[in-house]
Amino acid sequence: MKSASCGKAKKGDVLITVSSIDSEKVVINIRSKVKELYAHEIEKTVREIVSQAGKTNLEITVDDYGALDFALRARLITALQRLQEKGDDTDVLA
Amino acid sequence: MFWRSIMYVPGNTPSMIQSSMIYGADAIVLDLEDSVEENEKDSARNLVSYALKMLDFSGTDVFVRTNSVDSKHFLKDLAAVADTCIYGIRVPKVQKAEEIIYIDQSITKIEKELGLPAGKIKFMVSIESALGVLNIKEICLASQRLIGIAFGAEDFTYDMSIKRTKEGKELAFARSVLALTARACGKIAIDCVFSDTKDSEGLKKDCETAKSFGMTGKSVIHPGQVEAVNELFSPSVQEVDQARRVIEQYEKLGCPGVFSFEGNMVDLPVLKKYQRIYELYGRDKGE
Repeated sequence: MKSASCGKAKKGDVLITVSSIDSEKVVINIRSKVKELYAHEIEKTVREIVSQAGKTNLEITVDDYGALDFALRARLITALQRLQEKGDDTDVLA
Repeated sequence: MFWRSIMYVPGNTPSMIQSSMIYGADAIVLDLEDSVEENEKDSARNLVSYALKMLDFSGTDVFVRTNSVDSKHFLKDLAAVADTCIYGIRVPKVQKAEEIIYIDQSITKIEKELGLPAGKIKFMVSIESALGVLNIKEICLASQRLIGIAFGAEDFTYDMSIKRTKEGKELAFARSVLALTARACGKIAIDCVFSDTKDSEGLKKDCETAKSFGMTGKSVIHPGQVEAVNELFSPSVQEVDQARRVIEQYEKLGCPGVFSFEGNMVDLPVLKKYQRIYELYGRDKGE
């Protein structure tokens, strides 16, 4: 199973880990102190970006430390690009 | 276009980027170069790109410091930020006019590819080596798109194998030549950072030295330095008041070529100095 990550476990940032899986699903795990308030928005953004990139077969873990939307998007895109560099052949939108 | 303080912001730290516009710096530089580790260049590039597209930087001019033109990152950095709200890019470690031409051509190419207005993206460069200092005139004259020259003292002293001191005597020639040449070529001249963020008196002296050389502003590495740099690169209340009164007298007399004000002769060069001061005052008032 290939995986890649981006971001840091620091205030205002988000650590994203993406792993390829054997299922045609996108499994999203969210860990955040503000999960009750923002988990829905985080998942919506993650699914939007993954969909734009045409990706499936992924498990995505979001460790949120209070990141704003721009950081979440940038970190996820980078993690997907890094996964692609490891052998995933799907283009990732930047 | 008048930047007293230009504040560096690390390009891979979301919390610093999202608050960078609140400290009163005239401009900020989102940094993709020295503050970003080599294996994080991709993440910083994406982070800065998304920040520029999604955050509100209104009221602060934004530059992005790319990696140097001889790095594998330069064109990727440029491409990531070209179609955003940036005022321009700042390219480090420039040494020769050929690099300026390459930067200009690269920007021109990407403006065409993205359908951006020709000349939209400006650029500044940093001179950080002995060779760069010797070539400043050729560098300044190599592109109309180049708006300013900044001085990088840490790399310069490394290149010269000399110790950097707070007094900065070892930098005097380079700073003076840089400011003089930039002014002669119609470019702005931005002084190096003052690295000791806790030494406010040292910062003040360093600003006064830079100003005396003809620098138009100063790079800043900490939000706590912004207010002092803005103040020290601004005219005093008395200077602004005098400028206003001189200009009023000039207009009252029907704009003569030369006139007397409080016993002193005011001719065109002197008048221009007062007009420049008044222009800056107007900017501060948001006019």
